[in-house]
Amino acid sequence: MNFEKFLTEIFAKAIYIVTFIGEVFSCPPRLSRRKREFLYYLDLCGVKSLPIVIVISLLMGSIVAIQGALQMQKVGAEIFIVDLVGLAVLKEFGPLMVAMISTGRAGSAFAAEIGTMKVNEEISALETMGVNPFEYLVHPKLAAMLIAIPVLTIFGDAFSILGGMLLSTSSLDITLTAYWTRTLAVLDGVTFMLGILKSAVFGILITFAGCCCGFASPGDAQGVGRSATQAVVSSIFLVVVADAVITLLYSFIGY
Amino acid sequence: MTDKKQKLRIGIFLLSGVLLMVAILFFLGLSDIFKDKVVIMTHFQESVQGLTVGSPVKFRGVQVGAVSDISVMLNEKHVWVTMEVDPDYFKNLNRSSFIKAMKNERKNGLACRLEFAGITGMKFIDFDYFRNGDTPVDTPKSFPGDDSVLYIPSVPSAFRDFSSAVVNAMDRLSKIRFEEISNELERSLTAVTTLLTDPTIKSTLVKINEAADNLESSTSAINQAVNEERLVSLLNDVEENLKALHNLTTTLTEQSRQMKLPESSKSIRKAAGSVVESSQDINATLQKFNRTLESLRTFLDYIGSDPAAFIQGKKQKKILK
Repeated sequence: MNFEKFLTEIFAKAIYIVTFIGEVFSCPPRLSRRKREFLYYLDLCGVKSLPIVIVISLLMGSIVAIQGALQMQKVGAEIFIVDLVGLAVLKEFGPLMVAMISTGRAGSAFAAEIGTMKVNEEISALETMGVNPFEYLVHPKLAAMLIAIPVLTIFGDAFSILGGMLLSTSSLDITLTAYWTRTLAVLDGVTFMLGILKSAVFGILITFAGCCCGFASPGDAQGVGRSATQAVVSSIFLVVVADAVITLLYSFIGY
Repeated sequence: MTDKKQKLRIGIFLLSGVLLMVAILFFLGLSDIFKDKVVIMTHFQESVQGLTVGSPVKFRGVQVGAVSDISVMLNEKHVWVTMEVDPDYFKNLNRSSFIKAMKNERKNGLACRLEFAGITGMKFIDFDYFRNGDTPVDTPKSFPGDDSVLYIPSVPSAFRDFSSAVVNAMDRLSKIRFEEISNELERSLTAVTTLLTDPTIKSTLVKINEAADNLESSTSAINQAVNEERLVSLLNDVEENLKALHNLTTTLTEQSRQMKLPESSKSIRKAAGSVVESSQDINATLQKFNRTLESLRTFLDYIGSDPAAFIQGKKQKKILK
């Protein structure tokens, strides 16, 4: 592949993505008509993801605490593990871990679903029936993800802190009261809400990446698989880039 | 039925998520919004590096609030810090009584000072009685707050005192003439080296070594001679002697009492006076006796030179006519 062809492909993909975004926002949302689809995706992306989010968040909080303890014990600063766990979870790990789980569960599912519909020419059928496929397929997913991901992040934050708390109180010389008091002293509502806002942005990106890859998938079974993989990779890439940009923006306002 | 179960699951999911969010926000400071906090301002004429919005405000170590704003007043060259203090931390005080009490305590010496929160360089504001009530403070020319804002003066931080002490110390150090000291030291070292290489010193050292050896051997000999048993018997002897001495002293004291020393000494003094008088008399008598012997010797000499004079008497000198 020469460089010119590579640039042409990149440009074509960029044009496609921008067109896709335009298509999604150009049609008016009719969620009252798509209530069933909305509830289905909310159940799929939210409720059914909750157990894995809880388990991973508990483990993540414990891992951060134990890694912090190994370093901070050297200087007798174990109490700062609370700061580390709390701030790292609320600012980064909470939204990021939930986004990664959702990428694996929802992003790939969206791409596979839309890709399969494309193979079966269901999308063409929708268009023939006068139904906007972007309004029918993307809007319920987007709405569900906009609600599910922040709610999952709330659970993720809470259980990560709980994981760190359990490990610190059981393995280190930090009492439950001291951990709790320190957590309340270190963390604040704005930091928590900024993390939730970040997760909403991640939700939008995962939905767009999944749906975009689904609509772009070639009309064969292998293409559906490739588009699902592409959706996961693109989602992770977009989430990490967005995380960097949002963290930079937050730093400008002092968070 | 499945649809109902799904809706129930989603309802529980959303409701628990929202409740959790409200609980987290409540614990992380949402409740503070409903608290009626008192705004306190102070100004610092030093660097406030390490103090940020949200830094703790403590009253004798108890966190009672947080810093809400930091601003620089360039024309007066100082930094204004605004704090929000929760009166609920002060027992039996509501907002108005708290303000009144703080104004009163300000007269009693209440002030705020920057303190280090740890080794990280972060700072907090500590309220305490850092000064006497009558100690003057740097009153600002203008106060940026309104009437509802309470002003509490500040005192220089311990770090500021420390840093000024360091600056003074460095200033004094810079005045030390290290080059001269170094040269002098070098000269002294050369002299010491010369002295140490002197053969006389070496021979002296050898003699000192010998003396030390002798001393060591003497010490060991003493150690051998004075063993523990010997030492014990010596101590016993010393004890007995001390007892005897004590008895002797007691006896002497008693006898001296019996001797009526004052009377005796008076008599002795009288006798001594008499002896002195007698010796004076004897002395006069002896002088007379001496003169007599002198006359007798003169007489005998004259008789020896002229025996006839014993019969004729002493010749009279001729009187020239």
